[in-house]
Amino acid sequence: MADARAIEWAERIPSRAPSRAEELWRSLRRGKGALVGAGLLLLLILAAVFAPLVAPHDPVQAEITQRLRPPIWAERGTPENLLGTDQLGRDVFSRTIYGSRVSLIVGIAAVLISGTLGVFLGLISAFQGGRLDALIMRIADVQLAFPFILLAIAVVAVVGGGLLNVILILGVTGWVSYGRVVRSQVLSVKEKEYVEAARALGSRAPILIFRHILPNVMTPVIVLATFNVASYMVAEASLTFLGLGVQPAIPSWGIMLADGREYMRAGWWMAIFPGLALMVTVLSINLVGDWLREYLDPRLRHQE
Amino acid sequence: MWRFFLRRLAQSILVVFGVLLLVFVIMQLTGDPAALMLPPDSPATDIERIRIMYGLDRPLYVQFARFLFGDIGGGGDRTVRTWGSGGGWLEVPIKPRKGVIRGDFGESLRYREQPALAVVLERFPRSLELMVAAFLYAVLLSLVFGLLCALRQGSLVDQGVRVLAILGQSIPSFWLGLLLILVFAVWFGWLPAMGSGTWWHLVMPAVTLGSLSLARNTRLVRSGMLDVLGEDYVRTARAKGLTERLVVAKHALKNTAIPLVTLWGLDVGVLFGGAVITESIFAWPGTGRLVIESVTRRDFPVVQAAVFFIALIFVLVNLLVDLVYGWLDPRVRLER
Repeated sequence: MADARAIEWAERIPSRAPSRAEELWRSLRRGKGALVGAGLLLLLILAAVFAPLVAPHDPVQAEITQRLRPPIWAERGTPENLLGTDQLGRDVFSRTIYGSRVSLIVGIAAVLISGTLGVFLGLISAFQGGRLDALIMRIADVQLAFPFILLAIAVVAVVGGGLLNVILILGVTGWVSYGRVVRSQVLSVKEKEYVEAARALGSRAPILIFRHILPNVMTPVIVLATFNVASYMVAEASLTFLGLGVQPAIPSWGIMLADGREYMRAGWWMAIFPGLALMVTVLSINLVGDWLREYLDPRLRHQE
Repeated sequence: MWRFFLRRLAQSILVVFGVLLLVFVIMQLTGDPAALMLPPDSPATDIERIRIMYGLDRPLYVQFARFLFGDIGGGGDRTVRTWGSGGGWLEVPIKPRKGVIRGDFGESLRYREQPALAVVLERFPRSLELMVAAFLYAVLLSLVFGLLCALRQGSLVDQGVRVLAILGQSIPSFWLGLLLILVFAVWFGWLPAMGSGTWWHLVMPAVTLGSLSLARNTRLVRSGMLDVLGEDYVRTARAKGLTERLVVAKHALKNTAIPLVTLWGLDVGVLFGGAVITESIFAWPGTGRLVIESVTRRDFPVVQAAVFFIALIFVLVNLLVDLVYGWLDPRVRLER
C-alpha cells in the first residue's frame, strides 16, 4: 500500500517538473533581447539557405548601364534594386543576401574546427598531465601573445587567402580559449565523487571521458562557441576587407565593404548595407550568447 | 614577491622564444621561402641563388639557429660556388646574419638595404600615439559610463548606456570606421578622412579603435561596481556615516579597479590587433598599416619583425600587468 503510493508519487514528479524544452522556452521569452536575436538569426539562416529563391537578382551579374543606382527610397532609385546597385551595376540587396552564406559558413565551420581541436587538446592536457600538459599549455601561451587577427594575417600572408584557407586558419588559431577552459574544468570535475565512483566501478577511460566528464564541462564551451561564431565572422570580413580573405569573385560582406569604401562619395549605400547586415548578425549572436550564458550558469543572473 | 617576479619573467622569456619559433615556422608553411622573395614565375636559377644567399639551402635547425643567433664565428662576406641546375657555375655571396637576439631580422625586401626591424621601429611611434589616444578614450569613458550606470541602476541613463554598450560590442570596428568617414568626412566635411599630422586626424581613428574596448569595459565596470557595492565593507562604510561620495571613491572604486587592471592589459592586445585594421582604413602611417603593406608586397622580413615586435610588447605589457596585480592583490602571488 505504502509502496504503491510512493510509486504514484514518484511518477508524478517528472510530469510536474517542466521539461527541458519548456524551461528553455520560458527563459527565452523572459529575455526579450535573446528572442529578437534568435528570430533574426533564424531569418538570416533561412535567407542564406534559400538565397537563390529570396534574392531578386544574380549576385554576380554585372549590369553596367544600371551602375550606382541608389536605394529605392532615394531620388533615382528604382524598385528593381531595393538597396541600389554597386559600381558594376550588381544588385546590393541580392549580394547582401548571398554574402550571408560566406559569413555563416566561415563562422560555423571555424567554430567547429577550433572547438573540436580545443576540447580535444584540453582533455588530453588535463588527463595526461606532466610534460604533454606543459607543452600544450606553453603553445597556448605563445598563441595568446599574438593579437588573434595579427596571427591570422601573418599566416594568410604566407599560405594565401581563399575561403577554405580562411576557415582553416581561423579554426586552427582559435583553439586556445577552448583548450584552456576545458582543461581547467576537467581538472576540477576529474576529482568529483561521481567520476571516482565510475572509475571504481571499472569504467574504461573513453567511457569515463565521454559519459561522465565531457557532458559536465561543455557548458562554458557552448557559450564560448556561440560568441566565437560572431568573432570569426568579423575576422573573416576584416580579412576579406583588407584583401587577404575570401576571393573577390565570391559575394561576401567583406568584399562589398571594400568596394563601398572606394565609392563612398558616389554610392554611400554600398558601404552601409553589408556592414549593417554584419552588425545585426553579430548583435543577434551576442544577444543569444548573453542569454545562453545566463541560462546555463544561474550564478551570473544577478549581474545584468 | 621576488619569486613571483622571477617565475613570471621566466615564463615570459619562454613565451618570447616560442613566438620566435612560431614566426620562423610560419615562414616554412609555404614550403619554399625563397620563392616568396621573388616575383612568381622567376627562373629556377634566381630562386636557387636566393636560397643560397639567405642560407635557405641548409637544414632547418641550422636555419633556425642562424635566425636566432646569427652566424657563428663572424660569417659574412663569403661567397659560395655551386653548380646551378640551369647549367653553369653560380657564384653567390652569402648574406651575413647577426641573428634576432641582436635585432637582425634581415633586410626589408621593399626598402632595399634597410634592416626590417628598423623599418618597423620607425613606424611604431605613430601607432603608439593612436593606441594611447584610443586607450584613454576607452578607459576614461568606460569608467564614467560604468559608474554612472552602477550608481543609477535601472534608470534611463543606465538602460541607454547598456543598449549602446551591446551595440558597441557588436559593431565591427572597420565598419564603424567607414561610417565615421562617411558621416564626418564625406557628408559634413568636419574631419579629415585620411592621413595624420594634426589632432583632428586622430579623432576618428582613435574612436574606431577604442570603441570595442569602451563597450566591453563599460559593461564590466558597471557589473564590477554593482558587485562591490553589495559587499559588506561598503555597507559598513555607509553604516558608519560616510557620505556616498566617500563610499564610492574610497571603498568601492579601489576594489573595482583590481580586475580592471587585467582587462586593460588585454586591451593592449585588442588595440594592437585593431590597429592593423584601423590604420589601413585611415591611411595612418603606423606599424599596423606597415604589416598589411608588407603582406601585400610580400616583404616577409618586415612582416616577421613586426609580428615579433608586437608580440614582444604584448608579452611585456602582460608581465607588467601581472606584477601590478600581484602588488595590488597579495593572493595572486601565492598561487601556483
